Amino acid sequence: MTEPLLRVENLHKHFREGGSLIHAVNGVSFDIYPGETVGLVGESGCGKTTVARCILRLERPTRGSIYFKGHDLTALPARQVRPLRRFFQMVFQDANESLNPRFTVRRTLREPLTLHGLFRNEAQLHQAIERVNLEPEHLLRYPNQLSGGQKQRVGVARAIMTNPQLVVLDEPTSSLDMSLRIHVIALLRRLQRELNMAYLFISHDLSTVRHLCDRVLVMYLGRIVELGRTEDVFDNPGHVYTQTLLSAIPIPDPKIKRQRILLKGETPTARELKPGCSLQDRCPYVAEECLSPVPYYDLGDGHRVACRLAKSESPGEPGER
Amino acid sequence: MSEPLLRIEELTISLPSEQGPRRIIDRITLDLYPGQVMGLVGESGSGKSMTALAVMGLLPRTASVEAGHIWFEARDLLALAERDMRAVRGAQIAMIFQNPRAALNPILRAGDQVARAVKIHRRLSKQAAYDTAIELLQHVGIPDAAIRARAYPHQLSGGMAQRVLVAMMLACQPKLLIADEPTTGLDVTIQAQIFELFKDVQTETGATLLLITHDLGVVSETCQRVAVMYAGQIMEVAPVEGLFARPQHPYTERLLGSILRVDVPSDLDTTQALSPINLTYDSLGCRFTSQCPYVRPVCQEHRPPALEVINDHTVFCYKYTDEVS
Repeated sequence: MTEPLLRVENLHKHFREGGSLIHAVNGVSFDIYPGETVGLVGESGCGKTTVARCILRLERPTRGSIYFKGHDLTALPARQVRPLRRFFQMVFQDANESLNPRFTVRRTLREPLTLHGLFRNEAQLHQAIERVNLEPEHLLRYPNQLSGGQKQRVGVARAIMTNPQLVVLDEPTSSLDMSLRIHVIALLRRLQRELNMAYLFISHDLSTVRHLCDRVLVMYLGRIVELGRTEDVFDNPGHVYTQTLLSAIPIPDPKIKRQRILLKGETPTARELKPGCSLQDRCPYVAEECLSPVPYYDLGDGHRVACRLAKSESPGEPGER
Repeated sequence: MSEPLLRIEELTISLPSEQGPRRIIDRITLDLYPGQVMGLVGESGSGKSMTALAVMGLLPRTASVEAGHIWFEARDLLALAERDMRAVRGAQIAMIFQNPRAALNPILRAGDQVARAVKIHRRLSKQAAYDTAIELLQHVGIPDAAIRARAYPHQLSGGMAQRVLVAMMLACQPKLLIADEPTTGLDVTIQAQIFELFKDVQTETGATLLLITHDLGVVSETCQRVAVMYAGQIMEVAPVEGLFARPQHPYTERLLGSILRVDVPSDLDTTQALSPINLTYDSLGCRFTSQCPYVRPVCQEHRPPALEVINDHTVFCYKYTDEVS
């Protein structure tokens, strides 16, 4: 088997807020292999963006390691991370906020090349702008002269300038209309084929995740509660939280009547870290054993679920969490 | 069928643009019957929010009503003086907006805001109004209502803020409730809770609900009838089952075909994907012509007439007429 491109090991990130500690990420581990798309899904406050920010070293993890191409990013000094940065890039949620309003598209796209000493000629910029289905004339525009969809494509073009091997996409489709969303997904898929990049796709939009990702990680309150191949997680969700999430999405077909699982209350703030399952306060199926640490039950093909209800479906011994 | 509670008749609204006035709402007609949940669905730029603002009498200053009527209980809301409209707004027709926290007064505690709404519509003492407010907050599913009532809007989550607005709405007991993308920005599990609440409130009060959304899943699960809007025009009006089972308008067909469903895997078909609505578009005919596979010369020049193809299922499209031009 090939080596993972990115390996996140037992990642923890705690923030201090006032007198208390926010446990944003609590022991997250996963791998991303070259050329694959991994979805990181969960609702607001689950810690998915914090995980991404740690990977990009915009945030220092409290504990844990992040290996990119074998280098531990958490241990390297900034000077040694810089040359690696061209290999991992990011596309931000809000294209409005992430493009410098005073830069033309040309300058925005040229910047990463200049920083990494990769700029050779204008043709590189032309190639990038055409790759994202824009015209060379767009290079002369400022962000305010572009539509929302065009801005998002400039954000994508900027991320691929340095031929990265991993692109972290933080909710790149959430501000877009349905019809535009399909075009962005199609674009991302094509670029991935052409440039052989891996994606970490962070989203709360499960429909988009289903149509873009090879594997999915489901996060709740700073922990991965379920992971596996996209079709396994969507067609046979093992964790009550995943089942709840999927059942909450309205299906555009009046013939389908579904049983919806409603959780009690809202996601609590991660002030107090409980030893057991993160969902214990809201789960309708909570039992005594949920109050102590829940292992991952392996359902085969890398489908792992941290929920007691998945126990009977699992053929082997529970794994470590 | 009974008389409609609200009837929008041939409404046309324009906004000024560099090329002269642009009709952002183009001759729309829509009936809402008492007790019904009606969906108004469309993409950005379809004019669905503007339609709601017109009913509320809250159109932007630059907008002008070119033609049409909005009948509500035998009165044309468009002809009412602002003073009379104020008596209708809130008390008879209430609206719930996209961003609930922005709709609340940031410097008033949640309980006081609900109490104010109660006081405006019922003759109660200050204390009695506040007690009623707490009851209402409890009723819309806010835990520890008496404590939460003392929170300011910024201390509430989006879901809680939306519940506060529903409580205010309940205080007024309007006959018509307009909800404009009420769950945008909320997490899906919270969205599910809010829609459950809407359903409960609607059954309990018998209010008529106009739900504006871009999400066909929400329409399918919440509404009884639905109107599809595109670029300021209504393309099709039908019972929900009928629309999903037998879409008649070419736009509706494409719209339904371009949904990414979470419950079925599919290959992305970008050839079927729609282009975004062109906001400068201002033709006198059907506005979907540039993307329509069935387009005929007549479509460019004339607005297709309403055609009831199946019982209660109306489509605006020349595809179903025989006249050739």
